[in-house]
Amino acid sequence: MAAYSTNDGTLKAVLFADFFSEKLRPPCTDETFCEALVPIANVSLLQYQLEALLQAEVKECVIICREHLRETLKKFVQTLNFDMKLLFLTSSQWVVAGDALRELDSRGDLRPQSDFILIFPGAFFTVNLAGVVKEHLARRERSKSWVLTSCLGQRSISCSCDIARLENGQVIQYSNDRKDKMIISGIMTMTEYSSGVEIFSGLEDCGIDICAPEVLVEFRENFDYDNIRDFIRGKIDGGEGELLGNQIYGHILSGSADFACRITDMESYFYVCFAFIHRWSYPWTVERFPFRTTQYEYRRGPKYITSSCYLARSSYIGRCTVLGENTRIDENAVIVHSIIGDNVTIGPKCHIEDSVIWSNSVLKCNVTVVGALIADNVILNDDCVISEGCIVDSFVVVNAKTHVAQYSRIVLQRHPYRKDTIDENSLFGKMESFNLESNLFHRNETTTQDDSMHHCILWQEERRNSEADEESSIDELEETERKESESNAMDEDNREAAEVDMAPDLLSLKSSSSLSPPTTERKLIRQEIRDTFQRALEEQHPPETAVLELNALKLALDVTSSHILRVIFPLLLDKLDIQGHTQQQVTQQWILFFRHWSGVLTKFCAHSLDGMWLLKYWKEYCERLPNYRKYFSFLVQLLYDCDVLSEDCIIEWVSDEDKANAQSVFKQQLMPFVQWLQEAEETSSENEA
Amino acid sequence: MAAAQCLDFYPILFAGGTGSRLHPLTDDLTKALLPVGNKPALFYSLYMLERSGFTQVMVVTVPSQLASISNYVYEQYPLDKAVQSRRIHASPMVIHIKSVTEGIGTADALREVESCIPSDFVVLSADFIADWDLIGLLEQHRTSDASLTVVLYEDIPFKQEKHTTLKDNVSALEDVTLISPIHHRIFMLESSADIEDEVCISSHILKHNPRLILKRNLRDCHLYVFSHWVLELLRRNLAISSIKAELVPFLVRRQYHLSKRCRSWQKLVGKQHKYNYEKDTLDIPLITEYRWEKAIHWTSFPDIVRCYAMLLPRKVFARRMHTLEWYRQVNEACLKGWIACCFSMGQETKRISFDRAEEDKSASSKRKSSQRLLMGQDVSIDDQSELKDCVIGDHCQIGQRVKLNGCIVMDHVLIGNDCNLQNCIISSNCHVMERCKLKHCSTAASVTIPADTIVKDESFGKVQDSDFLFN
Repeated sequence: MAAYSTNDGTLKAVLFADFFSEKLRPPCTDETFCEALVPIANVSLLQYQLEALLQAEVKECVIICREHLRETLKKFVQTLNFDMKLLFLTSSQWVVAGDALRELDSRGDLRPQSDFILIFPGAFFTVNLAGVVKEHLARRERSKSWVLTSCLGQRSISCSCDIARLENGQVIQYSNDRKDKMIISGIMTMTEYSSGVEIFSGLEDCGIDICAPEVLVEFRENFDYDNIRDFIRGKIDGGEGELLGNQIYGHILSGSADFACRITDMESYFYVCFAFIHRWSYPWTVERFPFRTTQYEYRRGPKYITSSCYLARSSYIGRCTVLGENTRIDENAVIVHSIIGDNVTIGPKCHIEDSVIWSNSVLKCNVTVVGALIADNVILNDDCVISEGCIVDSFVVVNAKTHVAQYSRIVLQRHPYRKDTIDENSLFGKMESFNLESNLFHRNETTTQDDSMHHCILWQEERRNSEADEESSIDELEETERKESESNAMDEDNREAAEVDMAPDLLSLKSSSSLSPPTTERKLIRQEIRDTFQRALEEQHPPETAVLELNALKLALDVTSSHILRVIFPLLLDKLDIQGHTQQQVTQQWILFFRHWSGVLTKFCAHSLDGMWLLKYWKEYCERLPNYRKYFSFLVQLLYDCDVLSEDCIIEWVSDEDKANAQSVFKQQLMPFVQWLQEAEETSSENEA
Repeated sequence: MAAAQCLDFYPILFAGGTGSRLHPLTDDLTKALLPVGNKPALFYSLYMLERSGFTQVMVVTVPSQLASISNYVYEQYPLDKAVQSRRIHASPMVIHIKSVTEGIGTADALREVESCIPSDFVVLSADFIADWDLIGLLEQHRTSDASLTVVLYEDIPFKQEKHTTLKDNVSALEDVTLISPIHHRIFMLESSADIEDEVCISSHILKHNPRLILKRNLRDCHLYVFSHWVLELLRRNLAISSIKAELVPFLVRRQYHLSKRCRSWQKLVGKQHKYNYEKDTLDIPLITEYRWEKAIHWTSFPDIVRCYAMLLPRKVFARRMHTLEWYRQVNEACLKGWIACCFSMGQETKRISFDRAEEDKSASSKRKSSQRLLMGQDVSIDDQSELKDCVIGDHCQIGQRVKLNGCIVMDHVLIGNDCNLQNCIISSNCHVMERCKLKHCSTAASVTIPADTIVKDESFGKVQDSDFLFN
């Protein structure tokens, strides 16, 4: 193509085969198993990506991954035999994608000299990029300043972003969190606005960019850029001075013809899998993927069934199913809306719905799998139930009659490295010996147990409720809060790998788990905050000084204001005393005390969840010490008067409490106040309107 | 007629504007009665309403203008040929005139006449000139179940070159609109003067609208269709005094807006009861309590307030003549025949004037025939005068060797010999003496411009003494 031959005539691509994140773990816990190889309808993601690049007439592709994935990927790529020069750029030191780009820039042999396609980890797309590249080059011809073309899909799946662009396609605003408003500045001063600004919300940032080589230079200069989106954000937020006349083009993919999205977590993985089955990614479909070796037969439903598949007469294959090669479905098995990989055996009376099962797994008799992901080489014994949202990692064996609770993730503690030479029989033999009941394991690598290969641990994942997309950060906070209150403190990094027994009846005992080293660190932090505030209380520092001290501490220890609140509120409560006074004296005293310290509390009680925590803590405090009970509602009102608690917060807490325990004494005590609040609000909103 | 029955909208025509920006033309002529193509501006609004099939209309004015407005509405308007030709087939439109306190805002005026408004209503102002049928607008209002529909037109830069001074003026009157391109729902409509350099778009709006367009070249026609409950809102909220500046932005902002109370209320009950998007209501029995008497709270519920815009098609001419520049444009549009009713009404007079022009042309072959002229009755034009793109009122006398280019000349104007006027607006009863050379000038009524005046960009105010004042 003439248009491409500006420099050396070949179009290059840079492809990230490394996610630099742990969202897809497990099943991708294994060091040698790469996220880029997750199968979508039994074909690896990388294969789709390379295929799409091949369509765009890419001649040379640099695959970026961390060192430990190199061999796996190389081996995989050799099997493909594509007409494309594939180079690897690996290093074990990268932490973020930006590091890799900086490294790429320093490598003279690999660095693209002309404009190149940059594919981000997990991008799955059927768009023919040739047209996009052509447009990009045409723009570059007109003006060198169009350094970047970013492709944005019209349906948001995992990487939702909002952009504002001018009519000439220049992106002037990019944000990927919907927390705050979108602000478009300079509306009156910039002349280009006259024709209007288009604002798109809920676009999918599908991780496909056409970059000019200048972009890499930017990465060299800015060490804080973690990925290409930082580049965009940095450029736009920096304003005119930072932009240096460079322009970023936002290419909106057509909603109907182009399919593109990014796989970043399990949710989007499932989405892509089933969208593929539903033929949304047409012209690529399961049976028509160009380089597929397996022959699928397309039946109505849609169902895609290989010829080598054995189906028992009484088995039922429902809609939207893919059955891989050499898969065996036994009598009375029901499979609906699921993807079954190659060489899977599904025993009699199994029920599989909304699930993805990778290759080489064995499901024995009467297993139920609903809405779960079963990785490869898994054995599910008789009468297992795998509930919704579960992920079962490779080589896990689940015992008979086990009921796996919702949203649990089961991984082997020590994963046997995937080797083709693994002897299946010996593996089976070892697995048989593995007894679930006797296992309570540590994620800690230092623990050495002989049969560690078969130790399972349960990953904990935050539950996704329907409002997760809106309030994910809040969920996270809530989660940490819950964790903290339950088990004193648990390090955040360790949180996911919280060790628990797989037996459901023991789940509730997890709070008794032993403390890990980071917890002591946390303890020290708490102690320091406590000491500081204690000193402030005892030495009668003015509240402003106390705030300053705590703020300094907050920055020094890198903790959030919620953490500080959680330390100082109990201290304040301990300061209150009710002994030997009449009720009136007590209330007077409290009013003075809290008026004095309210500034500190308001300062660190910024989030509504902090307010909730405050109420909860106060309630528990009262439960513990019956003397305080009659003051429950009084303190809440006092805190409300001091602007520490918001009315929304109180009302919400009451409604939550209502659900938990309708007869709660505290709730009833607070009820008159809540009613007053609601009425007051009513009148105030009326005035406001 | 079928159209007449289906219109359960009540039109309210504001004709009480002072027209301060049209100074000096409005020094002693009401803004609503300024001639546009030799017809008062009020005619166009009234005729547009009548043609759309309204059976009644309320004209709102102020006491000081009451006499002249009612004189026109009752005496002259029914005599207009276009009106008469329409009234052959349809029953005449009943026109009520209401006068409200002088100097109050439009929303205040609306509050005063509120008791007379029985249904959803259309608000328009007399300075809005358009060649357009309102039926489409009303249909859109009904189908979208809107609380407010505003009419916007796309501002195509006028070919005529603009003065730099005027340009600043024009940009100050711009509106910034945030509109969703498919349904034409609007989320922001504010005049650019009110906007600091930043525009905030709240996450609610982004969540509900995948695509939005922020435009600066859409202009508000000040033609609104309101739901009846807006009156309730006005009654309760006395702070709102202007429709354009306060009421419309208020409603537009109130979309997706949840009051504090609703938010906490939603938290209490809304968790079990999900918002029903199909019916646009909350699926809670409580909602029945929120009836008309709680109209204000309706504005707090999600998606109760809906503001839509109707974009006028490009072929429709619509302008508000509230500045001199726009007043010129409107008259020019009349000359170009963009406003059809302007011609249909004066078919005969026009032909006469053109016949005359042709006669003149045959008499003196100097004059070119291609010029567009709109002349009233009883105009005497001497030979050897050159007129181009002019609107000339009744009973004018134009002297010899006069050159008029792009001028608007009202009734009873005397223009002396050898005058050269370019882009001027000469009000009624003016006398332009000999050998004047005026460019981009405008005069108040009954001004005498002495001989040999050569000025540019002047406006001649109302004369107190015998000599004129530069303004």
